[in-house]
Amino acid sequence: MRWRGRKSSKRVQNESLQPHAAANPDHQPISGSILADLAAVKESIGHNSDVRFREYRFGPDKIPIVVVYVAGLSDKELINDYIVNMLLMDGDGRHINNHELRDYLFDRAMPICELKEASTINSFTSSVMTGAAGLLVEGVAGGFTFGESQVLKRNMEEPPSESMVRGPRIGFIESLSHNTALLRRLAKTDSLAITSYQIGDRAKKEVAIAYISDIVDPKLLEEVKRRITRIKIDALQESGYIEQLIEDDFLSPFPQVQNTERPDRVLAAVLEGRVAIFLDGTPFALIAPVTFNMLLQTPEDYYERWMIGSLIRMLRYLTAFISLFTPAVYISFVSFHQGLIPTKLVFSIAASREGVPFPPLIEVLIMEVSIEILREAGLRLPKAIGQSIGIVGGLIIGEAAVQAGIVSPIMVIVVAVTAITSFSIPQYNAGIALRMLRFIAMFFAAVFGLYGVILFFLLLGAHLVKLKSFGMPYLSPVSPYRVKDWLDMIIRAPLFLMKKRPDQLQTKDQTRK
Amino acid sequence: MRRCLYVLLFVPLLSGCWSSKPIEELNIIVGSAVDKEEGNKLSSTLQYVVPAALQNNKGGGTAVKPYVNITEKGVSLEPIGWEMTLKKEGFIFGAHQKTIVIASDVAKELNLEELMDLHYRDVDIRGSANVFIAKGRASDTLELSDKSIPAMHINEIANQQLTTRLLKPVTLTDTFAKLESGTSFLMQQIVKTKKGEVKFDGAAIIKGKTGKMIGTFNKKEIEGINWLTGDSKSGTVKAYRSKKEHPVFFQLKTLDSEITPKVINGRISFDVKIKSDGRVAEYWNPHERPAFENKNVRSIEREAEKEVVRLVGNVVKKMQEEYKVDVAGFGSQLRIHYPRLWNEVKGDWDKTFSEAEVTYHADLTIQDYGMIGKKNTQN
Amino acid sequence: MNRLPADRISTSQTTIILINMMLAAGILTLPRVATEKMMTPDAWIAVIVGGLISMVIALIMVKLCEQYPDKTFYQYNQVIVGKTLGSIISLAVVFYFLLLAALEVRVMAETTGLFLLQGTPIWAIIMPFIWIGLYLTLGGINAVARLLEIIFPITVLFFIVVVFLGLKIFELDNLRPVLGMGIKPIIDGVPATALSYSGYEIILIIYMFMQNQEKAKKVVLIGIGVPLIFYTLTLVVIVGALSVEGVLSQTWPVLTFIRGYEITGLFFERFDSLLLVIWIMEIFSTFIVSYFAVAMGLAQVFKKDTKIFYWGVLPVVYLIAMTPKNINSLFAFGGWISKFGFVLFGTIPGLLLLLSYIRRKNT
Repeated sequence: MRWRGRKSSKRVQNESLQPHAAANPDHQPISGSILADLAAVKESIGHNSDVRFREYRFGPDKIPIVVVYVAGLSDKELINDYIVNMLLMDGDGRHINNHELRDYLFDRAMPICELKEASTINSFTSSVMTGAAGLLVEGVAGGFTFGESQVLKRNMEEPPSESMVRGPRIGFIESLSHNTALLRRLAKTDSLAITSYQIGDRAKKEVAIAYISDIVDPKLLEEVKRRITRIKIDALQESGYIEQLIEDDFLSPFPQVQNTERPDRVLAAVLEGRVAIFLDGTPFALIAPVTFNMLLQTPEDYYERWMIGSLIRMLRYLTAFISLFTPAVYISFVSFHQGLIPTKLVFSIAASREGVPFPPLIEVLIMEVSIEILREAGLRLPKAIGQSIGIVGGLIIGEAAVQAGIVSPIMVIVVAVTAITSFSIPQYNAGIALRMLRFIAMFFAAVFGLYGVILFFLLLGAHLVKLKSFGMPYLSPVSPYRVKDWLDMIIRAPLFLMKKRPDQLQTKDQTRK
Repeated sequence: MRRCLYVLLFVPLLSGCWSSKPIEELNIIVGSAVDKEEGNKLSSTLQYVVPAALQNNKGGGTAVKPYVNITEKGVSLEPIGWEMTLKKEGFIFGAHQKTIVIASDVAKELNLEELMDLHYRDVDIRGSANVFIAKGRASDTLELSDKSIPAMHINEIANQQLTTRLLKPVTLTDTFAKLESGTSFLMQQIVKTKKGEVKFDGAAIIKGKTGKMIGTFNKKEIEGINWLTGDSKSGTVKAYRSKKEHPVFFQLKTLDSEITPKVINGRISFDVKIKSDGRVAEYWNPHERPAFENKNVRSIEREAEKEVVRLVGNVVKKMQEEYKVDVAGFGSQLRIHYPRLWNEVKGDWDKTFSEAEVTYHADLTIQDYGMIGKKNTQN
Repeated sequence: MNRLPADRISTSQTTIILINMMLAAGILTLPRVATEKMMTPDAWIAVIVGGLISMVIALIMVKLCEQYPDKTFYQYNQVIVGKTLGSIISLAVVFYFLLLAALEVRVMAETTGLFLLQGTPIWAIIMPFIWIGLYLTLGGINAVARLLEIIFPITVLFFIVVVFLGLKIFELDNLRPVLGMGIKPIIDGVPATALSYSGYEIILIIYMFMQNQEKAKKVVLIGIGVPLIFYTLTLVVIVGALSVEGVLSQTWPVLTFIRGYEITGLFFERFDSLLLVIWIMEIFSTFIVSYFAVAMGLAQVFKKDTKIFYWGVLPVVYLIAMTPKNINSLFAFGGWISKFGFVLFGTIPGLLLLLSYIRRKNT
């Protein structure tokens, strides 16, 4: 009984923090006089057409009760079941006096786990508005709420943003409780801890962080909790909001928190000693801290045998490199260092650029920008049309541009290669980051040639070594060297060699058991 | 701290593209030729590639000559280059130059090191470009009747080194190192035939001290040089088992030579050891001597060895007696084995060398004789 | 000025700072500089001897640092010789690093201007370079160390690959005879080669930041050992390819050597400019470490915030870098700096060590 009281008082406190608290008589308690209470509730939310009120009379004393719910949101089956049950029991034929009534309802009439008490009108209405059914009983000070919003959920399907050849075909959905439940089912360990917070000043949303309590570095956990609780925002729409509000450097093009729809990825991360963050209403979970090389890895690297995993991973590093530097290197070769490339290549490039009216930089810009536009256009359209956009853009415009002599054929190859390579980076936002940086690299190359490319590399390096994700150097284990972690960097060593958790995370329990 | 990043990004934008030269506006040179003109002047011919023509020819369109030769006169190469920019638009771009041809009459008159100074000094021109001496006018060798690019064509033959009759190609870097240290050396000589083809023909001898050409070796003598230095990768030597018989051809697979200097009482002498493994490449065999018998093989080996010693002996004799130069690296061996003595004699090494005694040993081994061991005796 | 514990650098980072500090623009001219005095192909032996001498001096420096594990050179020399004299010594060291930083910038600009960007004004080459240096050094010693960890493997690997690709123009005969003229030329050559190792004196300043200071001796030995191997390899291959006479006549022998061969069938045919471009990173690393040493030195002498000096020193570096009029005065400038450094760091650490022993005894 005491904990209930404490909980409700806490809720009152929370309520007082609300910005519109001053406007409403916030602390108005539910008095127990059903008419007065109902009037207050109606005044607060009765103007909504989807809020329904249904009156019953209960027990031999015909005590008036009112059920308040939101049509379509509340779980009607639950309401029907329990209200009918309650009415049928009819107080066991006893006359229940007012001070027993509350306990009777709690213990006998509505023996459901989700029954909660609301002491003020305000907390009552806010529960109702988020999907619970509210119950007001004559003579009981304080209302009851039960059930939660009927979950509008879809099936757990394979996440479209991270499809894989091999691996579990299941992804998170928009319901937090399902997601955490899914993680628990997979983890099957009692040390998986899930702590939840209510974040958002106007619309409260549940945010949960998951970690393995005897692995995670307590300092990291503290830091994540500190940053989450510090969030001050109206409403969290998507986990991207959290990402942006807890990241280290908002000026960096690189994602400092990883997002994923895959429970296996989250599980692997928490087992390494990272922390996962879930938000209700989005299938995207966040993982922190993140390092640069995580952006180029997929869970599949671990599911396939180590040689395949290593090779594919190396391929991805190569594609990241190509995606970032190819146009810049092309520009510097074509307009600065024609002496470095093979003689025959010089001839064919020179021949293909014959008659092209633009300098290489403009040429690259035209093509790169148009390919970005094509990508964007294809993305937003229905799938069937999206494909035809690809054909029109890629084939027809590309071919026509070459025919018209606006761009050179070799340029088209360069742009196509960079586009494909940037799509092969598993993390969507990392791919975009590289594409953005590619343009900067191109400008450097257009002014300084290869020297500019090196300057860009140094600048990028300088930025990356200064960047941290939750206190962890972004480039580790490359820099600073953590030789132990190199087994799982560019190559993916055989599993029996990876007996240790990542050194960089400074986990409590170093060995994988 | 981060503001710095912004400023940084603006720096390149504020400036411009100073050194940028679009590739299609370059005049890509693949070869050049230097000739002598009247009145103490030189003429330089540059061979520009026309990339578009090269591309069109591939497509099977009307064949256009894929190169343009432009000639200008002047006192040295640099002013000639500037003169050319008055004639043809675009920068002269030498980074892809493969071939430099110098007319023999220029090489005989001018110090090569001075003549080539521009090439050594320029940062663009590759040190791996090959240098040739042309019999007759050098610019003619850059004009061929077929539609390939002459400079590339010459260069490819030179780099292949398929026969002992062709000298190892001499690069720009090689000539510089040799001239700088005053060592005499050989350069490949090319000549334009009447049919409009270019042919490799012997070698020009450059005296290290003066940097001038003093004579030539013919193809036979080149063979001797190649056996002496061990530079060849393939080639044959013919051996006569007897005067009446047809020759047998020994095709070499490996070649190794060693020059050992000896100093006895201040007299310098050299011992040349040549070792080679090979096979019988062609054997006209009227007496049906089967190669299956070791005795016959051995006798072919012996004859071939004799021929090698004769070839090498001839050319060394010519070096010592006619030209009085060392172009085969005898001096460098002396430097390695007797560094102190070398310091004394290096000032006038070519002369000292011409008085040294040289002995020869050839050791040829026939490892196999191909698919045929014996002629069919039935016919 | 008291660093946070987070600003510690690991043993491997210290080693890499040391190596990167030594490998710089000098290697591009090293074969010529080392051979000049000797005129024999034995310069590589002199380089090894020079490296061993440098190791001894570096060990003395470590001994000195061990006396004051939680202070930098700038701080403890004031403890040993008093405030005024200590400040003067510190300023001399700062001056040395300042000149070194400027020299590296200028050599980078000269080679870049010659080989890569003919026609680009020198200020345009220098400006973005030092801006990036500033951006990085503002992140403190840790950021510097981490970037060097990235630069080091790339540059070293690339350099070794490029040198080995050139083995086809390598002729062993150019290196023979070994010791043909006896020991004397080597003794003549040692001073020049010992100078080429300048850079290890940075241990005086970074020792304080080390996490495991007891490993400093190992760090110094490896830190000098790697450039030693590197220099020896370079000399052997390049003298072998170009011959002694060839090396002597070249302004940038290493680049000439790479210019002498081409590899067909790859995306690049020539590697000289490519090596230079990669090597710019190595020059950059020497520049930022010196720059860091200057700013920190000034901050500790004048007891002000380091950030002011990071910004303030930048134009000074630029102006000094622009001072030499031509390539000859640049080489003279470089020679002068390394001699100045040799005198400074060859004598003062030893003297300070002696004085600190005497001081310990007295108290």
